[in-house]
Amino acid sequence: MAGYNTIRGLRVKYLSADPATSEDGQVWYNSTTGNLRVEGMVLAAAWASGATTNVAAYQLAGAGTQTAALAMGGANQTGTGSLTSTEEYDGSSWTTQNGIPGATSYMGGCGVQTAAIIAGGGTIPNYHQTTTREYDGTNWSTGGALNAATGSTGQIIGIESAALISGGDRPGVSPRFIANAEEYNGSAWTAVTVLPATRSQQGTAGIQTAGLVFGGTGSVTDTTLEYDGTNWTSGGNLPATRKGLGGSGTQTSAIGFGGNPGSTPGSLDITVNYDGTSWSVIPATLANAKQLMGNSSSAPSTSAISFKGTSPPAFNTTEEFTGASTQTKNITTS
Amino acid sequence: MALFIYGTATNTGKGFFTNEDRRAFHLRGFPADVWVIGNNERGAYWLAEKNGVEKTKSEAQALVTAEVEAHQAAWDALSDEEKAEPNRGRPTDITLP
Repeated sequence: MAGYNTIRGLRVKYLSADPATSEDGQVWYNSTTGNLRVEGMVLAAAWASGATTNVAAYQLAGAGTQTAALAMGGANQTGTGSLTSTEEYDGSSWTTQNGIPGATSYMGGCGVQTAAIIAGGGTIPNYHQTTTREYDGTNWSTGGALNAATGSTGQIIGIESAALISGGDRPGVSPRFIANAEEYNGSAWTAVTVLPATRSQQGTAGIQTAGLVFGGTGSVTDTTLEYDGTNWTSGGNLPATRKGLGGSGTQTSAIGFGGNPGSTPGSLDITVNYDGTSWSVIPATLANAKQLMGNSSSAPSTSAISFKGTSPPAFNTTEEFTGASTQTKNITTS
Repeated sequence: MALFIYGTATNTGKGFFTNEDRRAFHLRGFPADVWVIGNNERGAYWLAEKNGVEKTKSEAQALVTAEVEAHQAAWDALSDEEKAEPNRGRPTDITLP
């Protein structure tokens, strides 16, 4: 049988402490702890439970990070009304904050806990408007109005002072679905290059000058679009059609999660990963299949957060994603 | 050996299921606090640790079906205008794996 030295080209070192630097697959014996050690054991990505929210909702806006998130508004549990609810998450618990001045659902959101915006959406059943509201961590104020009323855009891309909203759904208006795109500078929205096709309920990730839009409906799609601050270009297609999915990360490292396939009712627990070129399904699944959840499009793809959403009915649960990593492990026989 | 354990447990939030749990056994939540759990030592321990109640598959299915039917009844009671909203579809039947 070939020994480690033959396979790896290295001897197993006898060390009094773990080496300061090591490479994947390197094996050594730590004489102080008495452990045979190996570097580079893969720890698979996974979704773990976070704290339950105070209010169940779906089609809400989300912002922030896994340890400083914002859940804003949304549709109530039965989907018959909209909410003013604002909740802040510190990684351990959700706390109710000052409510949105007007009940709002089907809007997008972005930013951080102390500087966030929501735009579009509205009250059920006419959930499309031009209103933008800004949240400073305590109070809500009115921001610049969108040029085109919209709703169901998925989360807004970027931050409060450099945001990007695209597409949308306008119940009762013809045409119902739109391809408009607008950029926000912290005070005003400016119309920019429209999407190549209408789209709503899309997954989003990235920043204003490197945005990512994937899936969505109007006509349910598996396509991905990349925005460079001026133009939209095609990215790799999702493994299958999706709408109402969450997204986080950057244009070159994003994940999408949950959603609905469009072809059948019900929600998905699937997580997909984008590397800037192509999407792949990863083994980490949401514990509860859901769609139309709150999430932060700007959270890192390795530490995304999903809160509320519906299967239906609406959830008050949170799930926290941890991306795959490598670690140093003891080699044992048990 | 059966692939899954079935049980009920209330999601208590943070720490209810961890990354380590998710890597160690299959776990999927359904309405009525029903959980379908990978049938291994870690999965069985998780359900016990969460003060869960083990159910037969048919018992778990009955709980899920009753919950879904309650939500379907609520949807059926909506007005035609409310039902027409495509983003508020009728809850679908769920068959446990």
